[in-house]
Amino acid sequence: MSVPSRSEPMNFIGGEWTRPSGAATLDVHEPATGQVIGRIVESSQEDVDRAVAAAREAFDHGTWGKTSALERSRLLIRLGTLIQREAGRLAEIEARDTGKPASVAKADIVALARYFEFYGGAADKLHGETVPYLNGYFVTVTPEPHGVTGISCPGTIRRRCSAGRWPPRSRSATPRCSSPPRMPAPRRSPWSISWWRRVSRPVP
Amino acid sequence: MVEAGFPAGSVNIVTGSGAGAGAALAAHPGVDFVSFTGSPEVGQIIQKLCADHFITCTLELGGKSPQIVFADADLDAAIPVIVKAITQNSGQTCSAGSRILIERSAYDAVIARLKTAFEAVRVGPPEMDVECGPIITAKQRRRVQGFIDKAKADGIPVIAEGTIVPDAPEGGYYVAPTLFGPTPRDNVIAREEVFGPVLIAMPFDDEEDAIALANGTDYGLVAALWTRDGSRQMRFAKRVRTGQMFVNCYGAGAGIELPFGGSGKSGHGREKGFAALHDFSKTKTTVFHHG
Repeated sequence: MSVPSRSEPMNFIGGEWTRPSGAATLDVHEPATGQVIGRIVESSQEDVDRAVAAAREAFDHGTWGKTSALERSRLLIRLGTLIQREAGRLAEIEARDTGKPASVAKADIVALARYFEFYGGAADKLHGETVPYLNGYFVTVTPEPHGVTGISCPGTIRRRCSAGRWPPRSRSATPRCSSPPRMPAPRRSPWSISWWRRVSRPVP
Repeated sequence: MVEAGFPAGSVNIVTGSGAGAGAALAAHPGVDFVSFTGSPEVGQIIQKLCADHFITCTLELGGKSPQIVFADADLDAAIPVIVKAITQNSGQTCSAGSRILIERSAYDAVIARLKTAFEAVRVGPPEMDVECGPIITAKQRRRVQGFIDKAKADGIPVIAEGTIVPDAPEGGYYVAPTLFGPTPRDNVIAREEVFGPVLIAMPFDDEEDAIALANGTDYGLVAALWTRDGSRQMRFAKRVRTGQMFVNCYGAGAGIELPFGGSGKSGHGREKGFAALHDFSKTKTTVFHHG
């Protein structure tokens, strides 16, 4: 199995692969062999600032904040379909990145796609309610997105973990920055999520 | 994601360490909500950082989830599920079933079945597609091995071990799945999350004892009850402190439909299912006065 390696670790901000502010990287080791199979960015405060700014822009002023429930639903479902299309390659990367047995990695990618299918189907079905009140009043209670959400997840169930958090938030129209932290040692298998983003959009 | 049509900025990804990017994210004034999965210690840091700018968070932390097995359990169904619940992902899930509590009258019979099943578990690299893989990092491997070594040094009997395949690459982070028992209730391995393929067995005397034992850690994430007695199923379902309670199963495919989350040191908030939609939203009450 050959997995192309990226020459330069980057973050994904504002729809683009972005050079980090600094040179700090973390080695990614393949658990099955202990070998270094790649590097990821060790993001700085500045990198996080950029990511939050991009999310704020998308939510406050950009397209995402204005995207309808129906359109969000379609985007999520479409992403689930793309994940199924890339399932073979994603499972290979996941297995290599986390050491999990091949069939488990495949099953995890199936589950990943299902997450997007489920929340894609839910996106336009989260209703509010009306509350009976005093005469002459009409009261509604409506769900709203938080805004910008930060998601941190570990390496061992990287994809499913991040997927589990993203769709509910997406469905509520809240863009997210994701930092997979680990304290204090280097990050565990974030390489696979970086790669996932990459296969969704070929790097020039 | 871009191919799917998600607009720029709707999802952004930064990688890094907890002390750096993770803390920065939780502390950032531009972030309105945080969802964190990881260790309880870092979860506390994250929640405190969120408090500094008045935002909330969901925390998915650890677990020490019990499999509660009564003498009337269907062992043909239970044993494979119990073994898989601690070897799947090499035991590296918050939801791992890491304790097995056995009704005393059935202890020897259950242990005998478990022993056979545990010894059949093989550990190897992904392409061999065996039952269990390596631990995620060298450091985590040392941590898991440390728990195993300490339990052995404390004199807790090893009932069974799985096998690392002979062809496993030498530099890989492999640990043999280990079944300990009977385990003293006050031993650290009876209370602390190992986050590896280590299952500890403990006998209990009766229902009250089983419930006390099940609820006797700081965690409360997943639990399972194996019994054919319907009234007992109801009693346990109500009294075990856990976010997910399984009756005659464990995990059940971990479907996205099933709300998931814990209490105590396991964290708070619910993910998956429709519950997540509520946890990850806020509400606005709007009052129209129309006269």
